[in-house]
Amino acid sequence: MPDKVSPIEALPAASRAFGELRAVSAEPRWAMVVDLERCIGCWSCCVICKSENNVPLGMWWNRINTVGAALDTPREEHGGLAMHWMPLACQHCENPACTKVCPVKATYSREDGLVVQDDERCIGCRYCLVACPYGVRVFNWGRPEYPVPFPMGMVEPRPVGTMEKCTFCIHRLSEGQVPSCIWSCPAQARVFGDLNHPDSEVNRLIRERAAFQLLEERGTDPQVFYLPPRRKRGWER
Amino acid sequence: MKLTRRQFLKLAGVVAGAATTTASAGGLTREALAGRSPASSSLPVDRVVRTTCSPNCTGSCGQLAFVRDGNIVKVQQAADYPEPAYNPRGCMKGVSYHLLVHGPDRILAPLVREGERGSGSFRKATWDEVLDRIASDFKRIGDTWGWDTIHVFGQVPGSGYIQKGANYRACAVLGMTHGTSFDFNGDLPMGMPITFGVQNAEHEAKDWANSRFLLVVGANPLETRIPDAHFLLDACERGARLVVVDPTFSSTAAKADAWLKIKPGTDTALALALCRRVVQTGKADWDFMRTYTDAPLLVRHDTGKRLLAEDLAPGQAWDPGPAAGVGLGDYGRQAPPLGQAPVVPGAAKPSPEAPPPPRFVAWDESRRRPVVITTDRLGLPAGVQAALEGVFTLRLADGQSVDVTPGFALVAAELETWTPEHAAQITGVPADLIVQVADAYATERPAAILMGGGANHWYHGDMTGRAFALLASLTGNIGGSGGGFSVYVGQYKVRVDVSPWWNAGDKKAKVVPSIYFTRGRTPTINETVPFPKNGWKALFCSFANMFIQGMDVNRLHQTLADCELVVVVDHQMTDTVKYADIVLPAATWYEKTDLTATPLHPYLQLQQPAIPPRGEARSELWIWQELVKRIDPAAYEEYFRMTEEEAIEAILAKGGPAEGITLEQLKQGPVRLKVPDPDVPFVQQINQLAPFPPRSLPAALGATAAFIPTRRIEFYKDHDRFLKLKQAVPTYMPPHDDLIHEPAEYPIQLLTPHSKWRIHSSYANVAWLNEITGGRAPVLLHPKTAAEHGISEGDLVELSNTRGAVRAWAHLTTAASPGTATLFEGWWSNQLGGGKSVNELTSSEVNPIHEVFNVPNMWAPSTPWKDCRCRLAKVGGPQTRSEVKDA
Repeated sequence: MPDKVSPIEALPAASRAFGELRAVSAEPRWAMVVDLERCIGCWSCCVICKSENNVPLGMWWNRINTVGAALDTPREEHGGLAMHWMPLACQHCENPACTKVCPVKATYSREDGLVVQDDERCIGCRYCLVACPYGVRVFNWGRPEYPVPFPMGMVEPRPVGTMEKCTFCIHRLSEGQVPSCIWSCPAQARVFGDLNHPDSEVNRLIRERAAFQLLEERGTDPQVFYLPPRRKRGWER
Repeated sequence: MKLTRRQFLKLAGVVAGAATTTASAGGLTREALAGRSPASSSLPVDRVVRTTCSPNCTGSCGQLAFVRDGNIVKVQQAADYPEPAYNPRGCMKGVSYHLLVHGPDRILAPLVREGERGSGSFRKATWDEVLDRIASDFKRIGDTWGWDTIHVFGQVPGSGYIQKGANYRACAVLGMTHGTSFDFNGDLPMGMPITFGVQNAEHEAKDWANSRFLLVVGANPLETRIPDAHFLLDACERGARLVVVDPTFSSTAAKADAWLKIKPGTDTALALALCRRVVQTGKADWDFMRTYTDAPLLVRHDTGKRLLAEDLAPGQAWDPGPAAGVGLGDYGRQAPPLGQAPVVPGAAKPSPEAPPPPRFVAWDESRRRPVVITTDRLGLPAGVQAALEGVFTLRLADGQSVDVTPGFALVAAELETWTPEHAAQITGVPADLIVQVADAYATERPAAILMGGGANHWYHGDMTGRAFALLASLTGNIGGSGGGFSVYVGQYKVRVDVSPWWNAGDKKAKVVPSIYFTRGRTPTINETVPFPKNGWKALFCSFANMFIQGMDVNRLHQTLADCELVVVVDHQMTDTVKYADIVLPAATWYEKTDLTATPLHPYLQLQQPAIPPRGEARSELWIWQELVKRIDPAAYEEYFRMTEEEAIEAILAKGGPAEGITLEQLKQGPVRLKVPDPDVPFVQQINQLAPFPPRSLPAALGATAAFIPTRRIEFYKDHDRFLKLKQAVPTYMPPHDDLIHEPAEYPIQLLTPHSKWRIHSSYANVAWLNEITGGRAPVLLHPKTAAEHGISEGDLVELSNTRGAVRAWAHLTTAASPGTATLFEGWWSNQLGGGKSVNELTSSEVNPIHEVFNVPNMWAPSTPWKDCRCRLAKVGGPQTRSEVKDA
């Protein structure tokens, strides 16, 4: 067996530079921006999430919703057809509903804004699954099944009977790299960065592009922001 | 945009439902794992290997394979292109490839058939056994029937010049017939060789972002060009207008400023109406038409042929001598001094025995006399005002007189009939929208046309290409960044000089377009096609799911029935593998070395092994080495004692676009070829007045230059067969299958687009992707069409015509056009409700125009997948697949 190396250390230089977190302050607050005009509904972010985090079959930490209709099916709108996609994963709320209902404090907020899940403490009561208004927490019901006969990805699997969800690829952040979904979006529709740094790309986009949060009225204050689809340049007819 | 809670819950309903569908029992047993506070670093790996994903989607995306304990535990985009716009290249299929390398369908040992062909009953064998058997069968068949009766079929060689090139090299050495893929796949856009004399020529994807107007015709880049789709969005962000022409409201249509819902197979009518409007509104670029196209060249009324200078009585025409062309307006500013012919790279020195090139004639309004136009340089002699209309009477060498007219006058006469109202009737696109699109296309410059298989995969797809090429030329949108007429289809492109590897010394593989494997000889076959006189006796099929993915697949199976030996090389247990006599376990591209490039971006890249081949799997090169060794040891010594890296070095040493690129550089990452930046076709023609065409590798320049004798962009084709079939100028021809399947009897137009979930049939068995799609095939139907046939959502329906039948499950959506049924191609038979595949229905009809020349993959029969009518019937309720199987 060769000596093992960190998959980040082992990256070719150009690749490593691509994934580097930029404009990070001394005390970062992490946020994600998803451009709904640029999202092409390809699920690359979801699939790489499965791979990176060794998420078992039947479970998705990150999904793409076709807004208002079945998979890749448009809806009728203003006498015509319309379709766009909305990627959805843990919103890493500033004021999360899930942490409040957890009886054992297995899920909690960190200083850097991440809502994390300690699966050592988790008792599998699933209160958080019910409380989360975004429906993004998934439960490890049975012995996990995988499409290959060995552990994939870059983190340990979670124990049976615990909750799972998006971690913002916390294991990558500490090594100075963006989450895998950010890396792997071929449409360049996802941006990640530090809200506390004035020059961060996330701050610029939130400021300039009419960013919105999901279910703003619930007061959860997500740290995932969405940029609305553009206005079309069609002809008056 | 804000969603109310109600709206959001409606959307999230899908999610919440899915979230609770995970496996049942198992209970809450807790496996104690130590240290569960959030991980602060990634788990370690053995190594990370940079390679290239290259499965004939044309993406050619750099990927990193993360290897732990001999297994690939993650694949992720390398994102190492020097141009940030190209990062990251790669999609959800590419990053799930390790599920195929290590998945349950992987073939790990040679197999020998035990049951009937198609039964899937095999026994494991050793390599020695299968190699000995293939070698002895090849020798027996070769000696009995001729080596040319053995057909070697491999998928598009752009996806791997070395391993797929080994097929060519073996054919060159042993004498088997190599098949084709680009034309067989229907991807060869015949409008390109007919009009420009090239195999194809497209802008690199990043150049889409430089367009002000994007007209996407029968293409769905959001689903089928996932790594490049964002360039459309970049253009829109910069204010460009995106217009999509498609019978179906596709993902790309969803991003568009306007969706032109067109009746299938009528794109040519739309293009002609757009052309007419450009001409009528005075927006045509006549300088471009006169400088670069055959518009001014005179055509004889008596024969329909172009007038040649030697036809005329001596002294009648003004002859300005060689290389006299100058560009009109601003065109041709970088041309060499007058009298000097620009040199096209790859042009052979003219042999002294060769007949002199033809000289053509235009009518000069200023001198009121004909003028000789030579083919050595574009443009027109200085001061010539070439007529584009009018009839002129000239005296021939034999004393007779003849009426002649400029070629464009004949094109214009056809355009005249295409009023917006007429086109609206044929296409279903409202007349006022046609006018708006034409006006915007002509004025919002540069404007690009992106055509795809949806428009090309028709019997008369060549006409569609010719008509859109005319639109691009009429507006001068050729040869400049942000413009162009590009057809994106298949990873066909040979970007480097592969001759040192594909050829064995002077010996070249004999090539027969594979459509003739399916259909046998056609009555109109080009006499230079080396069709084996004893027909087909064996098939060696490598990296192709041909027996369900070939068009008109039941006819293909008739050829198979006559074959004494069928060998299939693959790494997944596909439907095709099940029909093989012998199955050879192939190495995936994470297990071998290769060299690859694509039309979509000009980077040359390596595939490098991340892990050794699993099980008994081997590379194509190794397989051929072993076979050649057994069949002809001397030939093995001479031609096959070579590693992949040596073959790559030999190709690089030929220079050309690869000049200066080394193997060492390629091992580090992608290297941009020596091409213009942005990579735009025809730059030398437009800037330097070099005659068309540029060379299409690997053919000799002369072979494709013969397609366009004027060496200009040709809209008037005067070859006998074009004249006889009344296709001399771009003309709308109704769908061909209407002649085979009477629309009254077969009321449904079948559409078989490419799916974003697969590359053809590859990735159909990726577990993650099947979790998203459900893993079974839907048929998209408009609710009105469904109601007419008594069909409800989820019903099992059958599509059928005289060629075959297939079953799948109805999905009702107004995204589909009424009267159409859409079944995405590439589902495996076990994902359907019955039938081999949708290709039981598709057509293999050969257009005789495509047989005028025989340059395989460049001018050859391009197949008409979408040109297909059928019947639609409900055959059952929304059963599950297992219920269907039990029935």
